[in-house]
Amino acid sequence: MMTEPMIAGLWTDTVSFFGVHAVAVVLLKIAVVLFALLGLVSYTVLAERRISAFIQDRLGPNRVGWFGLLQPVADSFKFLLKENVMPAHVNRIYYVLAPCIALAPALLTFIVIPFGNTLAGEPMVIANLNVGVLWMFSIASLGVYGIVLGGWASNSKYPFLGGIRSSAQMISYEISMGLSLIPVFMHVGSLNLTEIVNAQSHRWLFLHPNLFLAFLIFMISSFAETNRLPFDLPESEQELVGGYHTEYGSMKFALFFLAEYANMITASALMVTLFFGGWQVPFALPESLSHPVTWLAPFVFQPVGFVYILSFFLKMLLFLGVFIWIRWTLPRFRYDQLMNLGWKVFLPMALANVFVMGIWMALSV
Amino acid sequence: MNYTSLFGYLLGEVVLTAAAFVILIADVMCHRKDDVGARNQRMAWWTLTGLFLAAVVYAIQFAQGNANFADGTLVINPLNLFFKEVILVITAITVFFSMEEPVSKHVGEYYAMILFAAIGMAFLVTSENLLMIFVSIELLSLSLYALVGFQKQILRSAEGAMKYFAFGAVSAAFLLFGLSYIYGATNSLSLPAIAETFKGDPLMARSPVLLIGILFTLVGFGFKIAVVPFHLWAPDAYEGAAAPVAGFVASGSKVASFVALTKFLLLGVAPAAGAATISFPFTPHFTPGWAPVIALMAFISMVWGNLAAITQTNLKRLLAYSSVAHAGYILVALFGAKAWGQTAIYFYIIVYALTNLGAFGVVTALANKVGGDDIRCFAGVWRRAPGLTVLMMIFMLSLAGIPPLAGFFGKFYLFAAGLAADQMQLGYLWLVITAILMSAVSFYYYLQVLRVFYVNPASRGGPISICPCQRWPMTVIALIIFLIGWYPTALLDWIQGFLQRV
Amino acid sequence: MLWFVLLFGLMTLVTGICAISVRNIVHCALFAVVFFFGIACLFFTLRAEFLAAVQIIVYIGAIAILILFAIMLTHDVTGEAAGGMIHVGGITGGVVAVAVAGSIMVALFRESLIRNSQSLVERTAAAPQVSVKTIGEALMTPYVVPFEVVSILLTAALVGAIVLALEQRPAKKEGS
Repeated sequence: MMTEPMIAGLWTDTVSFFGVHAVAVVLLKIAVVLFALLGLVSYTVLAERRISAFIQDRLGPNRVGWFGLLQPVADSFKFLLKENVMPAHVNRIYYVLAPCIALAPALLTFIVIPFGNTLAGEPMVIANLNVGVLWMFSIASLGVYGIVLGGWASNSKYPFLGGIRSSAQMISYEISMGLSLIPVFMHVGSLNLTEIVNAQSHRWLFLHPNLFLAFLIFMISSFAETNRLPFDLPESEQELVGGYHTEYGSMKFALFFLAEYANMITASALMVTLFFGGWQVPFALPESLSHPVTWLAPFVFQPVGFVYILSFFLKMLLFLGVFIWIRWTLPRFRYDQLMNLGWKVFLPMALANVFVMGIWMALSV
Repeated sequence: MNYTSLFGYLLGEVVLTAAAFVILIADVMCHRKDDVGARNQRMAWWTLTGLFLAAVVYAIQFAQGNANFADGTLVINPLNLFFKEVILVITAITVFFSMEEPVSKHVGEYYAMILFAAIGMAFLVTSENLLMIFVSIELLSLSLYALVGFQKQILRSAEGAMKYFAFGAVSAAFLLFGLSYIYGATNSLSLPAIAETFKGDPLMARSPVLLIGILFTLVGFGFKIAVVPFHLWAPDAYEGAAAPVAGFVASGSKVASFVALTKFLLLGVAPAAGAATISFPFTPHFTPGWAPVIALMAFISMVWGNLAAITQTNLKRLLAYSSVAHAGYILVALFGAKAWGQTAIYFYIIVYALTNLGAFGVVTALANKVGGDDIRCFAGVWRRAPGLTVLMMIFMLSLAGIPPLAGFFGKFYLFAAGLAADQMQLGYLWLVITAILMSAVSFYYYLQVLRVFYVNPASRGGPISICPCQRWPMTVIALIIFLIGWYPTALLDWIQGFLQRV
Repeated sequence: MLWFVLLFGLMTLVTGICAISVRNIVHCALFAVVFFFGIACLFFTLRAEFLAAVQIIVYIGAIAILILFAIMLTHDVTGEAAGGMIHVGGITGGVVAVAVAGSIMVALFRESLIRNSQSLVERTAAAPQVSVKTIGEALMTPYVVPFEVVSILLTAALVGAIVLALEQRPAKKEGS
């Protein structure tokens, strides 16, 4: 048969391309990041519920575990154990495929984000691509397929409207989002996220006036890209029942739900990486942290590596908090307002920003 | 890398681009409320101003000497500048023709698209680089697709635009694919550099990868110059487009594409020509290369274009098929010795473009007033618009190639160049004989048109008044054709002089 | 490398054929998405990361999603009314496609024959390590003219598309 040598060939190719050690390390990193990410997602959901309750002056889920901390576990069991209903009128293949397509890109984008400096000599990024940011954008642009397909496959009008809205909205904001980052690349001179973080060792990028504008455009656009309030028109429960996931239940709904939060996390991580120094800390660390801890031999860990990861993690949590805070404070935009804002405000602003940045750089040389 | 001097070389195109944007903006901001006819005239004058300024710039560049920028992406020499001026003239005449009556209510966009197309043509004649040729062909084609579809109230216009676009898209794919193969085989994009590779590598001239690349490239060019079998869009696009646009497609786009094709074949891949000769006594000789393909395309185009033109009942479709046949004639000269062939082609393409433009001008001026562009609508027009029918006679006779007019000398040079291919054996005699026979066939339908204009009984209606914006350009074209006919060496010497200074 | 190229090439080929042969145009569009993705994967395999990313962003993230958007708004997507592939146009198209593919293959094969079985790949110099920076520099220095012409081209395409797509409204009455 053809398949066996093919698979063997692929494996040999992979190993010869990267080396055995690299493959093993990458697999380990993927496993750790994936579990951390999924854990973080479920706790972001809990945080959302608790913070929204706080903003609305109620209590929120506080019964399962200490302060409701086991609520995500209960929720996941609930989703897993629910009956798997598939409505009769749906297009079965796409109906099942859509939630998977929604979640996969959300997780995939994370692989280029450097979440720490180094640990045991190993850079804390899964794939250090030279075109890191482009990779982010290209994979993130796949996420919309989940929503569009889900809306279409449901064969029902509200999900369909949600899907259509989402595709138009995401394309519109992707443009200003991409353009807003060009000043960053001009400043740093690289698309590689690790290099962008390294360039911020003295001064975080948002302190630069042009890049601060870029950051604002990027942040607001990422709200639209993640379908979060005030731009959650694809779901907008008051108009479209539940939007694209109206016809979904049990674990398939949960996948959509997870995708939204995973997207939020990725967007936060990207903002931290691009504008807020990534894993850098704003103050000098004590020298002793850089000494390797030998009792963990043969892996020589430096405690400072953990500090950097923690720093990245905390900054990311801060942005997640902002996401949640804004959702429960701002009302939803109307659809034409959303489009006007994207095409007539942010797009020209981002373009002008590129231009001004160019002049700034020409003058400061 | 000096951007300032580059800007200087590009100044003409910059002026044209600026004019296009000024028109787009002025139409929206200042003239929104005006009546369409008034807007049309004002925008036309803006366009003419832009064209005039660009022409001045090119005229100044004549004096500045040659320049070759970055791998032939921008080559400034007298020949290219001359063709840029020709294109500006053709564009200006098209604008004059569109002045009387707006083609659509999107007036600013119409003239902007014409300018964009003119920019595409200007870049096409000025580049000797595969990438640049592709990009400018695309700019030209995209503008023309849109221009053909501008008459949105007419269904045929949409049909023509759709067919033009569908053919154009496929042929653009072939063109790009072919160019990528040529790049892969020769590892260079500029035409002179490609020609260099033949010297270093004797096998290059019959490298199959290169030849297949050239073949695919010829598909793309074949679409642009409308030769059989890539001509199918032409009748529908000409018929659907407004008459000035059809004239523009038939003249400006042809000039630019033929100049680019000639440069590509004679400057770039000339050693890969191969042969498809039949020597006396009947001994066919065949070597793979672009020559057999061109010979075949020329042969079918001449035969099919002329035969199909006979059966046409619509004047624009007739002109479309006649342009297919003329493309075939021009290809014959590609076999000529390099200097000869080039001169003949450049001479003929200018004469042909002007004549065709004039013929479409007559259609523009008359079609709406006689109730359509079918040939029978023009019956007896002689009595209603005598001046115009005289002009039409000059254009038709020149297209047919009757001696005292420019068309005759054009054809003569073309066929003479074809004969000069390999002088002793007269290998391409078969092609030249076909060309002469087929031009004889073409007399039939050109004279048929004139018969309708002059002899057929007139329909009702009084004298037709022609806008001066159409009358004068047509008169000037007719005069030029007449003068070149009397004194062909003037233009010929000019072109040869430019070729020597390349 | 070879096996990856084969795998992705096969994937591109199969989905490409599916994209033009299935009847339901939503399926067509989605096959086209996988097709574009296959091409991006091929670019990745050849270590042209920039091209791969741009391929995904432009073709899958923008063009295909717009196609899908347009298709979903059309009435009859199942294509049951349309005929199958077996008609004169389809057969001629198939013959031409086979002829084109065949001539390319023959050309590539003969190329190595006349070069004493040295293939085109062996003769061509290895592709230089291309980064985004070198691409940007190439676009802004030697190829700045084509680059600028492309910007005019896009403007022209935009203007033309808007004019052609604009709804033909009846002229407004005077004074209203």
